[in-house]
Amino acid sequence: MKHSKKTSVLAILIMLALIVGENSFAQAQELVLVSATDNPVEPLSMLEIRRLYLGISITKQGMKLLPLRNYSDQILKQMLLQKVVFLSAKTYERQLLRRTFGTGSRRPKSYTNADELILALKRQPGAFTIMWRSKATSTPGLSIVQNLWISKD
Amino acid sequence: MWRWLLIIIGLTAQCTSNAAENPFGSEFLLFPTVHIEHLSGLKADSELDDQSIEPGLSVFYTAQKNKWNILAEVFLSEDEQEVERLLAGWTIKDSNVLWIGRYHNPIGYWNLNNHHGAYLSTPVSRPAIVEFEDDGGVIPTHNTGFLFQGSFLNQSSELKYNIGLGLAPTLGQEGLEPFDTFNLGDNNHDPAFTAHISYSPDGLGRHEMGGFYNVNDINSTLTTIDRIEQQIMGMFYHANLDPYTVSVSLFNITNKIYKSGVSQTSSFSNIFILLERQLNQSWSVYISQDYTPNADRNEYVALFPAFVTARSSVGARFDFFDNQALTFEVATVDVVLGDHVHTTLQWSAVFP
Repeated sequence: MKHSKKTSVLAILIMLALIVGENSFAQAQELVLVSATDNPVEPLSMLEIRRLYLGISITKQGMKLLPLRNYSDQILKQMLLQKVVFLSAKTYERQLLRRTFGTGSRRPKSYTNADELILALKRQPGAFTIMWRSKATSTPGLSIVQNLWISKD
Repeated sequence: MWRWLLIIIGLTAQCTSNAAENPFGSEFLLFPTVHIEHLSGLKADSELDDQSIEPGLSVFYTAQKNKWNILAEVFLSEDEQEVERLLAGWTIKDSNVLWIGRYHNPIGYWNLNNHHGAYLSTPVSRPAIVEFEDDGGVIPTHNTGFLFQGSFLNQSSELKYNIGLGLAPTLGQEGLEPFDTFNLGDNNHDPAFTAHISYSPDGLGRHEMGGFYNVNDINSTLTTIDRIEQQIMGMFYHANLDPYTVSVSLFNITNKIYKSGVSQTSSFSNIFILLERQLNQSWSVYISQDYTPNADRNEYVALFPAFVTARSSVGARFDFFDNQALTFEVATVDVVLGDHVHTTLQWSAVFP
């Protein structure tokens, strides 16, 4: 009987952990566009964001926009490919290289380290990137420009 | 050859080790290649080598500071060490840049988008019509002068333009000879003008269609020809419809050849069709057809014995390590120097 009670408590704890875990996972499934609070960027259309990440130069209100690639985790990299540029990794990289090779334009810089990415956002006017909402709201000095994608869960 | 291979490996390794973020708004890219080629079916008296191993390296650098831009591309191989592009530019707005220097002549799709970056193109062979001047090419692929390059974006589409005003090549024993950027005293070159416009309805380059027009006043150092007035026009369509890529280009070239004060005009056309299919993230297969009808009867083409008048190719490309590829291609080739079957294994890469 005692054993059965212990098992029930354990089961409840596991369920609670799963629910809490699932909730925090659901919260993480909100992708936003962020810039530094001191270097704000005006909201952009999805086509503009896509063009910028494809290496096309756009200036808005006198400010050259600078997309930064957030590759600090593999899921964010996949989100950029699937929700922003709508290309496979191979096709995306080759399109960027072609544009750079043909016109001399720079490819959006990639950051695998989140701290370096945040530093770059704060340092460069016009810089923006994609980020999970939870990370954006918990990082001082960042502003959310707009929502990009929300998980259906 | 091995000396060049070692240089390529050394530079590639150096570049890879310096792959960290560059704070000065610049890009430094290396495009190394190694071709292993075998030609079969050659006649005994053919001047072509039946097998070869050719390492090559395209070194690309571009930098931007405020509105100023520089761009340089150098190609190194055992037979060739050439500055392909050397440009200084002023950004007018966004992607609209006025360049001065040596540039890729903006004709067709291939010459603007692939050029020496072998890794960027799936097939091994270039379309014959835009073959490099020093490989027996029949039209100028490089000019020196001003290039106005840019695009107009609207809600959903992009209109790209390239306008070049520069110096045409001369015609000599070795074929077309572009202006030597390091010999500014060379005054034997007359003007060349090129206009290239393309339209991308989705504004993202998935579909791109366009046309181009190029006129070249070509002086000749040959005793048999005084000069040539050359007019090139054509159109192209390129579509990237995952998993298929389709590319078609049409060229028409008219040459007015002056000999002892008398002129004779002739023209010829070229068509290039490429169909690629990406099988998965690693494998792609392709088939291409390159054809210049009646080339053997054209007086101008006869000046270029290395010009490929017809090529049918099939190939497969295997991508690995995110930045390298192995491509195997078999092509039947019609060329004055000797029809043959051309088999190539190519390693290409981009670093970093």
